[in-house]
Amino acid sequence: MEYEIVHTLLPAIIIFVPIISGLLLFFFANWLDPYKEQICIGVTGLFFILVLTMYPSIKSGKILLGIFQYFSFPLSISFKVDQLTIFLGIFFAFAWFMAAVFSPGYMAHEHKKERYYAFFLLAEGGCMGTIFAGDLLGLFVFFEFMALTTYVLIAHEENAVTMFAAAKYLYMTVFGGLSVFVGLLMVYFLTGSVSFNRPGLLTEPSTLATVAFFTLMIGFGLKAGMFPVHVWLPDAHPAAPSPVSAALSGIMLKTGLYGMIRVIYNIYSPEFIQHANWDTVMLILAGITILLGSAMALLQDDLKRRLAYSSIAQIGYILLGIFLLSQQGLIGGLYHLFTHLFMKSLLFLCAGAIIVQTGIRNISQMKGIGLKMPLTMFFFTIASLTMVGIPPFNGFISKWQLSLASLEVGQPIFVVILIASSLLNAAYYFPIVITAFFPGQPDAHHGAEPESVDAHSDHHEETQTDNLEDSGNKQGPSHYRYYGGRLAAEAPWHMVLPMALLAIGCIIFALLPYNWPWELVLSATRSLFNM
Amino acid sequence: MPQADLTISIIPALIVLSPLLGAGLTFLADRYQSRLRNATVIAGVLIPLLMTAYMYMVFQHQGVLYFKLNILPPTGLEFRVDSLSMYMTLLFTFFALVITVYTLGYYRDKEDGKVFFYILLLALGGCFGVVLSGNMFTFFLFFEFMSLMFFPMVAYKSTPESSAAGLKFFYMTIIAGVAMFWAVVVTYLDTGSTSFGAGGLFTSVSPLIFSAFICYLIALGIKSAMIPLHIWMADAYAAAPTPAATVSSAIMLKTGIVGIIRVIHDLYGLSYIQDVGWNNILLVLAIIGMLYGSVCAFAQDDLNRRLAYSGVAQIGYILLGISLLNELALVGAVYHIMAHAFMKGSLFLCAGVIYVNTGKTKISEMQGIGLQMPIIMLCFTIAAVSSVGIPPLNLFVSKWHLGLGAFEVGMPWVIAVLITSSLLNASYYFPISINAFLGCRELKNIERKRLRFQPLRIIPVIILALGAFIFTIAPFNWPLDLARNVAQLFF
Repeated sequence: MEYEIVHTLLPAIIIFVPIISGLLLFFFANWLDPYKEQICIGVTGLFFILVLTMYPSIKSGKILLGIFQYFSFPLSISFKVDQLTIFLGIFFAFAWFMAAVFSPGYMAHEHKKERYYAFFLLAEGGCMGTIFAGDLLGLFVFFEFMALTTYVLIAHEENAVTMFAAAKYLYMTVFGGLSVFVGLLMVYFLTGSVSFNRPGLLTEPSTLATVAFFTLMIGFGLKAGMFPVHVWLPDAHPAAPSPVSAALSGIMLKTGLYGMIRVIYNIYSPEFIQHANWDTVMLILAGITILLGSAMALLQDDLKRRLAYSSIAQIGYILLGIFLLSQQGLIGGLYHLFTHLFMKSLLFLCAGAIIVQTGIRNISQMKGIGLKMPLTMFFFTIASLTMVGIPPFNGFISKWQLSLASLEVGQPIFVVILIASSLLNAAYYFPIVITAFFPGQPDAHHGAEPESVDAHSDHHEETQTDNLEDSGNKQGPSHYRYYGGRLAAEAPWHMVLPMALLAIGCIIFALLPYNWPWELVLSATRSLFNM
Repeated sequence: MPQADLTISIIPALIVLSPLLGAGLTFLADRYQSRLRNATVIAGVLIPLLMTAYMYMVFQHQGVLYFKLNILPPTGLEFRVDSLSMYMTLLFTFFALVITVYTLGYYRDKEDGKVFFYILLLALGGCFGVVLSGNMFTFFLFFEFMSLMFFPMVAYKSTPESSAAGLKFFYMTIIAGVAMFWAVVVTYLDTGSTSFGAGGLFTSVSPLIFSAFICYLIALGIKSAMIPLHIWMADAYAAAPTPAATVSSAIMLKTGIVGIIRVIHDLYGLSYIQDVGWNNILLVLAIIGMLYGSVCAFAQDDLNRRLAYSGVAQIGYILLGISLLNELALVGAVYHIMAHAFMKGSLFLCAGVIYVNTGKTKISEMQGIGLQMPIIMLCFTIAAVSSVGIPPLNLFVSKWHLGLGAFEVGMPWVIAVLITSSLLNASYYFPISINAFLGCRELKNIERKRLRFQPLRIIPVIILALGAFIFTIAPFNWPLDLARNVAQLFF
């Protein structure tokens, strides 16, 4: 299939919408302060619409390419929107939008909101720039921009735990960035170009090519949370404010995967990698990532930490799909990317809603929470079901596809891993859901179980421990229904709405006769394999 | 070098002369018309900048400029402007103006900084002379003048520490002078000339000539803080007033670098050095410097000292680029001269503003300083991010070229050193920025109050911080073009 290349600066201009609004919000914080929420939601919404407007032309087989001459470090960079980009772009922009809509509710009692919203927009710009870039240099520029601006978001609460987690994130990210830099340098040295090509730029095997591949994989894998460079992830995700966790886990991890896909298909080529046997190494890492993530998730009591480890496992699925290096595998991987984007964003938003409304972070204290926050926990249930891969939900389609792809290339071991991981998924998600709705009888010798925290109080750790100490004397016969004597209400509508939309996204596509994301995934895969 | 394609022009001499005259006029103004004092100071550095801009236009059309004064036999006082001199003069005159304006803000009390301005202008005149000189003898003359002028700047505060640091620097300068003297004498004896632009004067290899090379390295290495001759630097920077440290870091260190480029490419010649392999001495020292400087910077709690050791590491990058003897690497090195000047210049100016506004010099005391001085610390952050080599900031470009150069000469392991050093950069600069803005919820309100906007102190910092990325996001990278011209001159 031939694609028509249309030269336009539209993608480049779109990218600068959030970046420039973020900068304005940052530098004119005093003037724009009363409108910061509206600006943030408005710009992310506008951005989503702008990305959608590009869809018709992409659908008709065009590729939008804009060489951006206005940057001159040492090469100019370009922006390119093809089938893969538009697939990711639409869903990324949507998830950013949802996280932005959720933010005002979550941030209502936080400090320095203007900084949060400014950096939220900057991080969105960086993230979207990463996937809109048309060459490896542009990808790297925005990748680093996103990484650094995200640091401020992660460190937002500024207590000791957060600062430590954020610092860990920062230095590992800088390391990952430098690793990508080395790979980029080697690719440029070997080929004299860094633009995305099909077939790939590198065709000659050499030591430098090998080193370049693995440095790039380390750099992007670090962002994606691949084993052994995932260690920042379980600290950073729980430390960040929940909408940011949703964006981090749902969206930003995927930029690392996107970088890997580009490296495999547009810098090297799948045949080259298969020939060099690098895919075996990466598949083993993917397998370890899946099992390690699932197993570690089971051990966590902090809900967000459990979600973070679960993200690692899910990233392993996508890695598996990518590194099977077959069409089937890539379809499965990309579809799972979409699935995970919706469900993990949703889960983190649910966790955020619970934290804001009740101040509870630990799963052991969540007994009966479904009776207080029925909608939130209902969405949580939907996401969990998706995660485990029960048939009508999206997760089923991607796991089905991944299993087929594994069998196709003669690797049944991965089917076993997938099934084992799904069981683990069920084991660490369903208990949350079940105890949330069916708390059972209160445990006699666990006096301090139902924690009491004021609904709208500062939800920091100190507050929690303080309340833990004096919660013993607030026991009533039906204490699991009340938190410290007051009913924990459902989250306000503007927090429920984004969760509802994401929950619908988790199921609706599988039920409709025309599975739109599936079509997007197919055309993205076709563009990578046939162009 | 055939003399036919040279354009005779007096501008280089005037550029050197005007800050010297400016110093004299400032002295007179202080005595008789103190209202005019600031005007004369500014004029002393603004006029060279304007003349340099004019010279650049002439240079674009007519090529190499040349001027000779038949004084000081046997070689005479020669000025010669090729693309390297042009590049460096543009950089130096620009930084001279920025730093001088900043110094006006730094010493708001006229009495306090009275003498400092004379010395500053004299030293700047020396710096311009070094890069515009047309032979090693002239270079030596201005180099010594400039170095000696830096001594009173270091010792300016008249505290025991500053006197000690000043003396340490002074004795090392004397060593540099003696070494340089020996080297220049050997050069003149052996070749009968010390002129630049011939692409190599030496033809034979002898221990005497090797000793001259080593002496050049010692003399220029002391000035440019090359390992192991950097020992004066941290003390001097910690003790000196910030403008002095900035001038040294952004301008004077670079004269040593220019000297090393001149020695390798103009006196010895590329093929000569390649044959004898003396560049490996420089390469080893550069790599040790990159790592040692970064590691030492970690251990410092005094901000100026940390910046000083970071300078040792950054000089390592530049020396690396020179010693690889490769066009791309030299582009990287020459670009890094500019990038480092902007980066380190703005970091030092920030340190100076912090010191004059709050009296703090220790990093551990700087918790929450970003709330008091958001603009300053934002500029600090930009410079710090730039130092790691994250695109689109300047240092990315220089590291990119250094890396490509290293690949081209077949030494990819150098990249590992480069990366390690960058990572260390990040880990000693980022905590300062982070602590300045974040993790300070417990601070008292008095420590959060924003300080008054002081244009003379803040605007130079903003200009330098903008310089950290303005060229790379412009449609064409002007300094990079100039750096490429410089590299083409020698390869």
